[in-house]
Amino acid sequence: MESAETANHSTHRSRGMYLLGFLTKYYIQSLLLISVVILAAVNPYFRSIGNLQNILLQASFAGIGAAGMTMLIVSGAFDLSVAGLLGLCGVLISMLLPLLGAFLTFFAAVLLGVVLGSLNGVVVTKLRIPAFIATLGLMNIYLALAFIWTGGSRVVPISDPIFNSLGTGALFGLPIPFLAMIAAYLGCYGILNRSVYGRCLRAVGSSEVAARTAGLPVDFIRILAFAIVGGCTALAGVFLGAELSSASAIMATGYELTVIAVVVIGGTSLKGGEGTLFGSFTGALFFAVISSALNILNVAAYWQYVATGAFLISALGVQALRSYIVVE
Amino acid sequence: MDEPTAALNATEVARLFEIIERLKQRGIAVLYVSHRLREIFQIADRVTVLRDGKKVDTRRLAEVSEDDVVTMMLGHALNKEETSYEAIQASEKAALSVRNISVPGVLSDISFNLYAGEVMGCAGLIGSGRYELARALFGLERISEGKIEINGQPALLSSPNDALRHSLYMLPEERKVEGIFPDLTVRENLLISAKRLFQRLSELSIDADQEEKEYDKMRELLRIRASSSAQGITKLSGGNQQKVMLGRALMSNSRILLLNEPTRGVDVAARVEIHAAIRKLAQTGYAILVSSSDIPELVTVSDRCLVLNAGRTKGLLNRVQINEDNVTALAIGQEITGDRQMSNAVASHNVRSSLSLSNATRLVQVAESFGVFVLLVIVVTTASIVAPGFFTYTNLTNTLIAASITAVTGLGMTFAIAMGGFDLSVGSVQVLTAIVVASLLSVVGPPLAILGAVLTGLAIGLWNGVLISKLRLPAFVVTFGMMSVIRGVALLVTQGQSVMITKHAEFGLLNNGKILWLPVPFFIMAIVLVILSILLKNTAFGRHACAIGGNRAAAIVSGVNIDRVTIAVFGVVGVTAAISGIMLASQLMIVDATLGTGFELQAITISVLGGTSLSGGHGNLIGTVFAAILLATIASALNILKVISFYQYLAMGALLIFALAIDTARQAFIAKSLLSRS
Repeated sequence: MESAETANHSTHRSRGMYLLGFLTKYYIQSLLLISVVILAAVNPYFRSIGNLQNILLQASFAGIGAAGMTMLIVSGAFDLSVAGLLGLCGVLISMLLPLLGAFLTFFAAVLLGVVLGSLNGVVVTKLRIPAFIATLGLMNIYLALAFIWTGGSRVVPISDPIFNSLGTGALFGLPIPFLAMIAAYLGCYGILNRSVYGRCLRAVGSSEVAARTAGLPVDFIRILAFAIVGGCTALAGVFLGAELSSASAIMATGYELTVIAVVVIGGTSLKGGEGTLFGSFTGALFFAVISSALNILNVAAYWQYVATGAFLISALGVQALRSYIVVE
Repeated sequence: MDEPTAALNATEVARLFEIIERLKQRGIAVLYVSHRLREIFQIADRVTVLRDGKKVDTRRLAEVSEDDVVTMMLGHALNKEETSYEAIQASEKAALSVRNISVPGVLSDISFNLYAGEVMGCAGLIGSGRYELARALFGLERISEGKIEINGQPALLSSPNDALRHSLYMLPEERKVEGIFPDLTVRENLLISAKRLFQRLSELSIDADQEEKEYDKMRELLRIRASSSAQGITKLSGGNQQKVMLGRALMSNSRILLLNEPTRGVDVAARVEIHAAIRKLAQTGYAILVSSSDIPELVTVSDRCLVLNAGRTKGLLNRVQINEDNVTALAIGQEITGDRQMSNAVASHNVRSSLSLSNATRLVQVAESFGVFVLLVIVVTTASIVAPGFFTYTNLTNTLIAASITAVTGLGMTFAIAMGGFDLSVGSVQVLTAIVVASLLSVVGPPLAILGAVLTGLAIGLWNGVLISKLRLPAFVVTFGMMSVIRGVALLVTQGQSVMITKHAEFGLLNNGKILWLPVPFFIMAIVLVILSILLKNTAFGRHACAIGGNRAAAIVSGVNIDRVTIAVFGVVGVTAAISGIMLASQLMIVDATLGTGFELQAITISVLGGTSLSGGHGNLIGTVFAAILLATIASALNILKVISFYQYLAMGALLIFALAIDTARQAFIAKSLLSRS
């Protein structure tokens, strides 16, 4: 009798632990599901196809950048310059589009992103400056270059029917940027989890000293990660510019904060060494859902600043809590 | 005392034991933790043995023998036969041939041959250059003279990558710090050096099946005990982690292995297994150098033993000569066969090199204190030449006001950096407090309005500090998030509109008032400077803050209340940002929420430019003020020259990177000269 009771008790407990473990592991996915279900239930506009498509579209701008940023954070670094980099790419697109056409402009923009990303990497690794502060300085430089190029915060046009369709078009009802986001995540997933480079990336983030001692080319690995962030950011810039059909230096103000918040809320640790791309993917969708909800509820746009910052900090708090639960 | 003799030589150990004896007689209880059994038997009265986190027993030492203690540690008796030595036929050709190599300040004139099929020991005390020798051969230290041959071919080893290409691999001394990757699995840790990045395109993707086979092979060979290859490395015991590390060395496809402290922090049973594995590897043709502080270990595994003392070869013992007494004697600098001149030469050489370096260090320190000042003089002179009208009273006053506003925030930031922290939210705090003071002025008088703004800054600063210390979150991410939150609050409070100060015109005196021809903001800044200098240099609070920045772990151990100091420092930063916000409001008399972007960057830039290192531990407050004046001068000159303001952004970013690069170079230089001096 007694033993049956304890057994029963322990299964209860283990089921509870299992649920807790599941919720801890997939907390952002659960959070996304719950918020979507609730919002769709209470608000007819939210569940309209148009709004859902718009959410996917909005999610992909931050989401594509967050794919690269996840890789970089896994390697134990950051890039705060992405807003400036994206602005500069946008301005470049506007300048090149009349000359080169949609196809070549697309590649030129991504190339610029990769080059500037590598530059960030070189400054951080070779001058050995802490990443967040070096990239903060570089953001100023990129912003200034974009300002100078456009002669102020003047908005420059991006108008080419083919190029613009990159931002406004859809395939099987899914916006093209969202499809690109899925592709970016699949690519990054392959690199991070199925390639030797990805393993090296995680090794560098896990322990830089050990990586050097094990003979890994640490600087090169990091520079490449910065280049991936640059490329992803430029890709986001392409779609953002195509959707807005315009560009300006400040077109992505606050982008770095959103992207890092998306990565952190997805569950990737800022300490480096491990990261979840699935989490970042969900995190980007979650941010877009919240932002759409705030819009529908007619909340002042200023709240977005408060919400993004608060989300970042509370996500860090949640991470601390999760690692505590895992240890328990 | 926890392993107190780890870094001591034999004479120092003897003195330590005398001291412990004296403490004992004075009635002080001593808990002596050590893995060196001999010391326990020498110094202790009773011994407590722990195994797998549980207490095994506490016994009087008079009642037990060394073997008994070992049995208690293992849980079973040690099989003596396993440790016995068996000679190996070494190859005639040297796998690694080292000719007269030197590493500045650490090693001089080391030569030896290492043959395939042999285990060569390397002994030496701390400071003998033993670990540096292995690091130098693996390309982690810069070799200034001499040459290295591998299999008869000259080899240039300037990075671990080069060494790997020459089939040479090193196992690091500190497994926890330099060895394992805590986030990676056992298999990933084992195979991290197995494939060289981008060497072969076919090896870009991971073949899980093949890796599993490789893991199985190593598991059997080295008797690794793990539940699966996907287990986290940190879940393994120290001994099994070390076996994985040994496996990593084998998987690197290298035939020359430099093993440092192969059994440090490893239990006795694993130690025996590792020693057996090393002997077996040598039999299969590996050339192995075992570098260890554990002399009995060297006696057990080595065919020959190199002994270093003060960076020089003290002796090379053959199998017959190797015993603990001979190795110890050579290691502490005594002779077996006399040759005193050599060690004298080493001593004088070391003194000379350290002298010249300390002069250079002093030069760096001088440059550190006056560097900004010199730069400032240059910039002011240039400005007065190229920008007509720079040297007018009005322009100088305006420049000084702008510098003072920036400097106040910068001074707070310097304080935070000295503690090893950052605050990216200061720009937002400045704007919010400017809005608070402007809004309050329409309701209450200036004193209350100012108080309100200062309290707002203090509250935000303390809140930052609480988040950082209590949740153990990195300062820059927290304050980065807060930057956005506070900016959002500022926008919400003003609804995006400007706030104009119409009542209480006397509030403007904070900006345009003059005392002895100098503007009031200058005096405010001077007062903040004096208060913060006293706080930083002359109070326990300031010293604790610097201690945390200099060495956090040491500060915790010495009983510094990290949380409280952190919260207080961020409170200080919040208050300075608020003061600066009030000055800003008084300067502009009309404020809105879009002001102040990039202020946090300015604050960090002037701190670093002023000579405060990002690595923490000290703050140069005067330097920060000079740097603020420098920045304001540049801005003013560019304004007069009608350079569009975007170039100022560019200049700011470039200046920050420049200042940081200088800081890095300076740190590297100081570290190098310290290393050479010791």
